[in-house]
Amino acid sequence: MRIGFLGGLSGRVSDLGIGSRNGAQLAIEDLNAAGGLAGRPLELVIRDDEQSPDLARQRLDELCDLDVAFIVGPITSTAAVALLPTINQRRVPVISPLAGANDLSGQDDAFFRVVSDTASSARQQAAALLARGLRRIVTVGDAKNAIFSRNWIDSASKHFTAGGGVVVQALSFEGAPGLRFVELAQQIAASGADCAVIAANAADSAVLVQQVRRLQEGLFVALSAWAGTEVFPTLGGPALDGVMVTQFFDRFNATPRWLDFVARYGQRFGESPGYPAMNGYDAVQMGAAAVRATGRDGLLQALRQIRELEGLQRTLRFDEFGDCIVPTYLTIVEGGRYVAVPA
Amino acid sequence: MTKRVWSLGVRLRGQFLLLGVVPVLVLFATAWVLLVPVLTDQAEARNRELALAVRDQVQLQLLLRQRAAGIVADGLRDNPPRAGELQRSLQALLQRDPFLQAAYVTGADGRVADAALAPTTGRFAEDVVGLDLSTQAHVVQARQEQSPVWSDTFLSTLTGEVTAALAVPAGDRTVVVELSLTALSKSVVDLAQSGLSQVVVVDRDGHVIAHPDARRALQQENLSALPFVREALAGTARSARTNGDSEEQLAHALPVPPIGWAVVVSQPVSAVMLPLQQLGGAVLAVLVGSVLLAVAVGWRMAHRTGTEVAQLADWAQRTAGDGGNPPDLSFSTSEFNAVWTRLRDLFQQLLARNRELQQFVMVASHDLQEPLRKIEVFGDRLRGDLDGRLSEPERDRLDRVLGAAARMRALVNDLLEYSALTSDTVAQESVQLTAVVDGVLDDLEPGIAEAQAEFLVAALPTIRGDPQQLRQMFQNLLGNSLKYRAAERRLRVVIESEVVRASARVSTLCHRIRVRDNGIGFDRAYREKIFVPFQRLHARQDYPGTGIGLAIVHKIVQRHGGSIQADGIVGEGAEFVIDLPLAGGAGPDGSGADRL
Repeated sequence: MRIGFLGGLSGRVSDLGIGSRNGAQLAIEDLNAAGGLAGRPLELVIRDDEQSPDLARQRLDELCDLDVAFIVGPITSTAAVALLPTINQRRVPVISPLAGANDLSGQDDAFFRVVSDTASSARQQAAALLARGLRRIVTVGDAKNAIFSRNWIDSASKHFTAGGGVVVQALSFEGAPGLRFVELAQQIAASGADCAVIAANAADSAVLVQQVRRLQEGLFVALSAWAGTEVFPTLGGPALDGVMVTQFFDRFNATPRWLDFVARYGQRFGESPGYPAMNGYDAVQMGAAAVRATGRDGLLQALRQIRELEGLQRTLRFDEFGDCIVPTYLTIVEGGRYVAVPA
Repeated sequence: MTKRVWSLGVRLRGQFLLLGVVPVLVLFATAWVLLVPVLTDQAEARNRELALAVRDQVQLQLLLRQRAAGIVADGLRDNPPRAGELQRSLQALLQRDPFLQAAYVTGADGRVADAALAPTTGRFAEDVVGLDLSTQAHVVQARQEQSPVWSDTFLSTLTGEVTAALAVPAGDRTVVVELSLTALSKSVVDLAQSGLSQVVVVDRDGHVIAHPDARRALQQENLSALPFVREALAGTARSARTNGDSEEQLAHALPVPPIGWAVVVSQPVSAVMLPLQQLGGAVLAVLVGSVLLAVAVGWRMAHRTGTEVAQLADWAQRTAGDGGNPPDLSFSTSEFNAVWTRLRDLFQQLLARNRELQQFVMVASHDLQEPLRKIEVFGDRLRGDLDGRLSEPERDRLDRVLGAAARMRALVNDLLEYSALTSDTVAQESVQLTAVVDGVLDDLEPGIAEAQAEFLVAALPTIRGDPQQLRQMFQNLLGNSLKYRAAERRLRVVIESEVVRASARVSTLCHRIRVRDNGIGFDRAYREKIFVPFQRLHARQDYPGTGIGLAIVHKIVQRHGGSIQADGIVGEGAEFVIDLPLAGGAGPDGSGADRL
């Protein structure tokens, strides 16, 4: 039985795709070690969309033509929104590990995900900022992943202002080529905000934070979960200390199941797993649960009927549209690593 | 329990299959056993050679960048540049090397003080200035050890490509360059283009960082789960069989010191064993051909044999009745057993009829003698009683009656003699033919003297046979020569012998005895008829006799396993050529072998 994987495996933000692919691969190997699904071994068919919506549609068609049972992917919200019409047309179940855009919520479609929508995570971050006494924020979003960035910024801004805060300026950038981080940092510093909320990838966030803090050393910075990769704390040295990063998973989880996964993942891929790997693994397990319930026929209905699924770290809960409801976690960078923010 | 009987056709097809298929299979199995280790060794040697070449290439690529960065670091340490000079120096470094994406120089605090970025990054150098590299592991190590250090590979924030950074200390400052590993992939592609091998380079964690398909390097596939790759990353070269790219591979992993990467070379087992697969294809074709040929030939031979044996049976049946010529046979059958049973029955019938016929001849001949004797006795008495009272015509008629009776007695005697040859078994004694001929010549002495004939007898062989019959044979042959001599010249008879091949188609040897005379000869048209009983070529008045003599010779030769042929020219003479088996191999002088 073929299982598809579709995601950006090359390019600047390919760390999300590669982590998700590795997690999905490990899940497939675990399932095969347990005898496969419906008595058949599983094969993960991998396609790189190179973070291009047009290419993603083409790759989705390829996977459908290969008669995959379901597809794990896509990785970014922008790709997911672009693919949604094709997904519903082909009626192939698609389970995204990471696409949390609000635009994808509440729809009776063939799209499922094992990540909460962006709004709930952004609300949690805004509440934490308010709790720290921060009242003036400047927002910065990466227009290359506009849907996620806009969702995050809008939700955070809405909740922040509802809590008595003010959005002093909303900025966005297009990324390379042409982006001048120094100029963007100058705009942030000049905004008069006491906090910058940035929705960008880890690498761009690291550069931007460093440049901002060269100009305004004490500025508090809060990053979206997009930047919360394993390497982010190492990309900027002491300049990144004190940066708040939202996490889609509990980095400090010590349950036996998670620790076993961390050990096996490290042995298999030579590194520690992050949330992309965890969600890639859980996405495959969600599809597998549906296949176990009904076989390949009626898979969409079986996926919609899933209300709870034991994930690697916690119980995933789903609404009637297949949207996932899981908590997010707040961390602070200190000395080149993440530390937990007390609830 | 009934024993299963296979038809001749099945047996023939089976034998042809065995002869055609088994040797091919044995040869193929032998070739397989011998070739597999050879092909495997050759493939592993190719893998090792290619891995060494790629390792050298990787080390060269790294060394080139290390030297380039080292020159900048040396200049920085020895001659502190004036304002702007360092920036130009870094830009020149990137211009010379298209695979260098970025070059930085940090200050003593580890922050980037000067930077140059390749235009392909789409980024600006001022965005990099001020970034803190002081906690980057390779920078820390280079500053501590005061020697160049390569970083772990990472996805470049500038280009999104797999990259390795080199930190070269320059006093309290550090030169850092970022190298796109696409250059390695290109080198690997160039080296691997010549063969079927796939070459990849993995980093310290087992991620693929150089691959003929550059996209796979970007996707950072991880090979550290493969034990032989892990061993290479730990510093030990290893060969192994592994499953990759959906088929089994012969692979070799070689460490790349000092950076800690590994080169992995692999080639599909199917490609390695291609010569065997091609051989297998040829063997399969030969096998299919052999099977088809065996079935076709087996069927054809069985069909032909069946037809011919059936013809033989028909001929035997006719022969048992009124005679006929045997068919030409080359042998084979489909229902051989049934036809053979039929043949056996027919021959038994034939033997029974022969016995009845011999008995009839014996009885008839014996019974005919008594009335003949009475005709002769009472004919003689009648001629005596009527002596002087018969007219000339009456005497002539009586003489004719008595003459006819005498010829009939001769015929009956000859018939009995001929019949005795058929019924009696042939004795197997050692017979010296020279002595036999001498005895015959003694018997014929009066006639020889009368004719003043000359008999020249060469050394004749000793053979195994019936002395009486052989004597009869020569008696008849030499008597014939004496009887059919030419009146106008002295009779000359030559008897000689030689050992020859029985026929051009076989290697069996025989004694060839020639009896040649210069008598009246005969027309060659009668060469066969001359051996038929009671056949005469001349008027009885001219040459007395019953015409049984040569028929008896023919029968004796046949019963001794030989053959006889006659040849003659009217008015010039006749020759009889008798071939008799060597029967023990004794030649005229008692030596010789029975095969050439």
